[in-house]
Amino acid sequence: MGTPAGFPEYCMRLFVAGTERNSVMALNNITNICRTHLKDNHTLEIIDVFENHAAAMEENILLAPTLVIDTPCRELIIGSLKNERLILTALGIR
Amino acid sequence: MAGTETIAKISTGNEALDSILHGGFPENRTTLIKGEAGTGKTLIGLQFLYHAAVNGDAVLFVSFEESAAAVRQNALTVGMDITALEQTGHFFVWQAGVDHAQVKNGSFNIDALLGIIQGQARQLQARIIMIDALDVLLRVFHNTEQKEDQLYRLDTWLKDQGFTCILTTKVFFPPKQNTGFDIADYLTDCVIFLDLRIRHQKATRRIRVVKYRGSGFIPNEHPYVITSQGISVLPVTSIELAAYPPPGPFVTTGISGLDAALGGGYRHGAAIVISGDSGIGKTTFAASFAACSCSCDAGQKVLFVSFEEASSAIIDSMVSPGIDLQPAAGSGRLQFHIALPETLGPEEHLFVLLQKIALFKPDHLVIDSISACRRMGSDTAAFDFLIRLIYTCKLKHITCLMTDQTLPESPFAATATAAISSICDTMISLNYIDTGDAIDREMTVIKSRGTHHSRKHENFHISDNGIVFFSKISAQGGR
Repeated sequence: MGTPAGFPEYCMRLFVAGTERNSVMALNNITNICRTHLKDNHTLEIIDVFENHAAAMEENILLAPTLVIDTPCRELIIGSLKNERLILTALGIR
Repeated sequence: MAGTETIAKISTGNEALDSILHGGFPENRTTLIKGEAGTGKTLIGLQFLYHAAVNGDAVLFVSFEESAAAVRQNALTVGMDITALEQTGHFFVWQAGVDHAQVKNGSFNIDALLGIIQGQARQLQARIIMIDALDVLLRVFHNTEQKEDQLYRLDTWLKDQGFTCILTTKVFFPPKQNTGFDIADYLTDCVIFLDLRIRHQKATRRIRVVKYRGSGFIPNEHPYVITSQGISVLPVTSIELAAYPPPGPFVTTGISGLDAALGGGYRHGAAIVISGDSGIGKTTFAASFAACSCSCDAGQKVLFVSFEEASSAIIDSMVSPGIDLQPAAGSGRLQFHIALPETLGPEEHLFVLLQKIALFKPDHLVIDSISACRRMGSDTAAFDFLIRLIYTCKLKHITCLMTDQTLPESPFAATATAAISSICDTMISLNYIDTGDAIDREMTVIKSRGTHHSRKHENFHISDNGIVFFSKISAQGGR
């Protein structure tokens, strides 16, 4: 992991549905990944669809939880994010 | 009926559908509309939403299949201007695109959709929601249990929120093994099934209410058509059928001998069939009635429905037997409705004809001939068409004079007549008789309800002055 030069390398948004089980699990899982693998070279925005429906609407996010990876390469991952490997692959780390 | 209804309802925006549902869709509940592609599921929902929006409600339309532009366009073709309602904030169309290429990683559900609906509904202050083609979204879930879970989740949530919701989903024919949607029938409060049958190259659409929790409904299948005015349900209900008035006073047949043989003439509002071989004079009998009813003296209106000839051809062909339809047509009291049976399905034929009847308000209807109705698709189609037409005429107290061509091998049991004979008040049979040196014509009144009619074979001929019965019969009228 290099040190962030200006902008963080990994930008993500996680759409959650309040405190629904899968959403809580996804939040825990992605937080762990961030802590372990991305350090401070990332941003993670948490969006609750019940608080900010317009954001979900704009991107056609119908399923929750949905992880939107904006950089380095746009990718949508739905589900509780239980498979860490898959996320690291999507981030281009493995 | 209405007194026992306890649940609140909202009009469907369609009078006939409201009467089938005893008032409308259930308020604060979910209604499921299912049917094959092309049955008009979306249109029924749109009609409901449009009607509510026009009446001041705010509505939200979530489309999983069509773009918002396509929804607006479709609505416009049946005269519903959604754009205008969107501008006033009463209507909101949202196309929910489903990305099936998403990477799946663990469990998920449709909560984001619920969040969007909740937020958007709140913003609009909408309480009426339609989710069109929900099956498209549920394709993301691979197994039946997951689909059922999501439907359960959606239904519970909608109820908690107190939304009045219309869900539509496709059904497949032949039915697939459990699609995960069967549970929706149990969950929702009202289920409507739309059915499109193609028989003998003719499309027939039918609507049926499968269930309605907490409310009565008419359980029959109702034919419907999709026209430029949207969905038009043709209600044929047992209630309506029982309510038709009995035949009225005598009206002249336009043929003095026939008046005598029938004990006075046809009964106003009766259903009459004149059957016979080709060329025997069925149309001449019908035209005599039309010309006489439309005369200045009688001043009545006749709608002449022909499945075979153009109006000019009918007028021309009646010149030689001395029946002048020109004055009647000129006065506007005689109108023609020319329809080729093959051009439309029986529902469309009936709908067009009923519209014409409603507009023209004729005293009498002539149909020449009902045997041609079979060309609308099948004997069943013809029977359906005729029985509903006859009942409509009876309800509206319109005399319905029908001609029917007999088949050579079954001279007495005319083709279409056999099926409808029980609802016909008067049946007249025309036959050729071989006297050895000539072919004569004779008429037999097979039945005529509520009259003292002739029971004899009566001879007639077609003169230059119309149908003439030989003198002997007029004195023998009674039984």
